Amino acid sequence: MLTQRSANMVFSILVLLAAGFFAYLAREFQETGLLATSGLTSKFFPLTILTFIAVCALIVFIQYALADPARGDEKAAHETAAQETVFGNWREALRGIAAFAAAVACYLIWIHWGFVPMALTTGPACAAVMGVRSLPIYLFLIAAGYVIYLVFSRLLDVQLT
Amino acid sequence: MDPVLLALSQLTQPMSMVLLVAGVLLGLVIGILPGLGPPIAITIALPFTFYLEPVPSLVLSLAIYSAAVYGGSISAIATVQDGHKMFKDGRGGEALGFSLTGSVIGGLFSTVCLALIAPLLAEIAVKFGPREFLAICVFGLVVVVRVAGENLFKGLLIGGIGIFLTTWGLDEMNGTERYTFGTYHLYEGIPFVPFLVGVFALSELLISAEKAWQPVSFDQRALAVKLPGLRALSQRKDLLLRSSIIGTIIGIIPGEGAAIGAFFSYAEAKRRSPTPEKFGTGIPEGVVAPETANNATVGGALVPTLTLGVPGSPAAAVLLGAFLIQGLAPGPRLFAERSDLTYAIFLGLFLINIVIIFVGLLIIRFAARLVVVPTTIIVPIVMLLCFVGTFSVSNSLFNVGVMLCAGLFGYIVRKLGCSIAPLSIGFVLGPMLELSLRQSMVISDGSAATFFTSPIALGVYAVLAISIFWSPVSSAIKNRLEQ
Repeated sequence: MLTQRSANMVFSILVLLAAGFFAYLAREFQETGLLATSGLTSKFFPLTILTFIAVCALIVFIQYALADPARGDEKAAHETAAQETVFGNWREALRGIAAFAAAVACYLIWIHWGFVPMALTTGPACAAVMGVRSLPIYLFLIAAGYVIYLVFSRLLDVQLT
Repeated sequence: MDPVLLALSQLTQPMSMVLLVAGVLLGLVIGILPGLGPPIAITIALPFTFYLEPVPSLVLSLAIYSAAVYGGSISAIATVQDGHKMFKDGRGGEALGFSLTGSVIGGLFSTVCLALIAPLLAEIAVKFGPREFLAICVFGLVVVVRVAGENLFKGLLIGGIGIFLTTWGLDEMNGTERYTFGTYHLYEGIPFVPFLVGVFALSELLISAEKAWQPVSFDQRALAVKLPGLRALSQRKDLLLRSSIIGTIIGIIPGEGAAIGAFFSYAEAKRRSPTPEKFGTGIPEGVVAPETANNATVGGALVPTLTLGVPGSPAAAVLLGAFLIQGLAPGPRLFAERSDLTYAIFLGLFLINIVIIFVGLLIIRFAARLVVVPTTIIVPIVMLLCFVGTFSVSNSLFNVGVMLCAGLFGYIVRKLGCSIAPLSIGFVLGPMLELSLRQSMVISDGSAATFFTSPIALGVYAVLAISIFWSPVSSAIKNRLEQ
């Protein structure tokens, strides 16, 4: 399974790349408005924070790179929980990721087919990825989806399209 | 009209009272449900507050907050340490009674502290300028990071990302477009409520979805609350007072809130007990100490939230959302401009704790059965509520997309072994941090020395430096002395 060490190192690299990308975008900010000449420019704060983020990401990367029990640094490995795994087992990982995929799929259903189909499918979709095999639970979730639709659309007058 | 009377008249409106009771019930239910907690409870209700007047809206949010903290203790005492042992010994009712009494006493104590401290602090804070607010923001963020996790740099990294995300949108000072990616949806920045719903609620749901359902077993016949007598309470008056003080102080310090308060209070009660070996074996003191402290954090957390706009806990950060939805900016000026509202908050919290006693006595027997509701039912329903809630804030599907992205990011952060507290606090403090920094620089004509010319700001930085370096320095000195 994916260890905290590998995951944190990959995350740090991604953060460094993202910080570089956003810093590049910040350079292109067009200063507008009358107050632009007084005080700090609009890009100063984002660039400062991005630098701070990049430094932190670099330190985290180095911490995890050095926290290798094979190199004998048990203390660093313990402090960073480097050998712990991100997921308990592959089933857990699959359920978590599939639940997010189901949420995105339901969002797309909402965009393309409207709220009611989404409300009726969200519950069963989530239950399915969580491995539910009980028909009453599916029926309960479909009913709950419709009740939520009625509460928001009729009682609160939310225009659920 | 006198602000106290005005607050009372607003609080005693039928709508406010109904929402107060409804909020207590909802908070209790959500607090009891496994995997959900106070921040999620408030985030779920946040979109509803959009349709309400300020006082009913805040009463609802505060009732949910207080009751969810208490509700969380129901499932905890049924399953953890002393409470669990008491349940196994058939003394579940007694444990619930001590928990309810302790929670209410802690809640009332911290409300009184809030009512006494907050106006005084606001009076001082109204004199604060950008340099002082900058120092407080830095202090708040660093303390949250230190309390929230073991790895300082990981916490700072996550907090920094939270701050960075607030720079998206039009620059408030000169209208420059920053990271809008050509979409008008981002002109006002990343929407606050969908972001918090995603970070707190959706990420927690994804974590819950990972776990296969495990039944919680306890004797449901032992769920009738048995309130302790006055004698039993007077025997533990020192413990109640100490736990209330600890909870209130931990609440005031920006950090994780209720959980940390309960932990410290339990450890302190055990340390001071003449029979520390009995802790963990099912003694009332082991229930009273954490339960009193965790509800005392509610009033404590509201002190910096209301007076400075700096949330004392993740739940208080979400509570800020309820203020912002109403167009209110928590801070020292709130006390001067909307004193009726601040009195309504103090009186409302007091009433909420009273209502919790009756609700606890009447329905806890039934509500506590929710502990056994499977996550396979909770996750889909709460997920749908998150979808609808974030949409209804501004009838925008873009909000739902933001909620999904924030939820995924929150999930990744949690899986990497980080707390999401720095992310949310960074997101809340970011705008204040940037504004204070830029205003300070404008005032000082670009000189960085301005940050160290204010005695208050210097004092805050000094306290921060002591809090960071005290532990390593003291342990180094101790090691040297031992050698």
